[in-house]
Amino acid sequence: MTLLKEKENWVVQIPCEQPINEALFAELRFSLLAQKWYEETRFLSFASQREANPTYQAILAMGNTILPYLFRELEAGETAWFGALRHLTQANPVLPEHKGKHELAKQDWLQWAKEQKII
Amino acid sequence: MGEGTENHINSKLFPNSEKEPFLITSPETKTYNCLAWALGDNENWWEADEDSYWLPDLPENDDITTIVLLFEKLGFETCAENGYEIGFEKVALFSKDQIVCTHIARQLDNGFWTSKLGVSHDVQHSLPAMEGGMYGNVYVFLKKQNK
Repeated sequence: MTLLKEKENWVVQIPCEQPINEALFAELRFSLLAQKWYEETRFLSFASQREANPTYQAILAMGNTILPYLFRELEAGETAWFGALRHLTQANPVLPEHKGKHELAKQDWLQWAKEQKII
Repeated sequence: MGEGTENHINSKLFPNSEKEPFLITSPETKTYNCLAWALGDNENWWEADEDSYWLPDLPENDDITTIVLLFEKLGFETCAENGYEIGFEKVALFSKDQIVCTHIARQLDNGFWTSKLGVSHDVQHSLPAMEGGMYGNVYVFLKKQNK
């Protein structure tokens, strides 16, 4: 599934062979909410303020089904999801020496996700 | 320094940026945030959460009082005015509700200010350019003597 922005509208491209089912709608909902959250919070520097955003809360309310999508976003370079990952997994694999270096923290999370067979 | 904004920095979020000096000075990056940039650090993300750089023995929140305490721990002291003083570096803390710190800007040697806008660009600007928008207004200034 590919999300494209055309002016103010989002266009979703779905391969013909992809089944239209609940999983697809969950992925679509997550993708649209995530884009909306990025746009609404990209100028905020503090996680507590980004995570107070209602769109973020709606994403969290989707529960653990979004974990693969969160790790996909992480792999794509979006490092704003650490709080969501901690909340949903109750884990924190970031090494103390990696605090502040979000690229390294991202690698810690991706390694953890592989070990947990989430990705 | 020129004037004007790029189209993708929404002038509704920074309404004064269309009539005050406001210039993008870096590509977008997620490496550092406004607090890090105000401290001259472009390699770390500074905030009070489990993934970011923070000073020990500080409360774990982004209240104005906590951010002031952080700067004081690093040798700053509050000051009344924002004019450029030779031999001093200054920062300006922003707030919308006078409780939570929304943004920090650092003064440059040319008298203008520099800010990192979340995960977006660095910008060089006048203080009024950054006020009256999503960050609120300047709540307190701090300064430190240059070594």
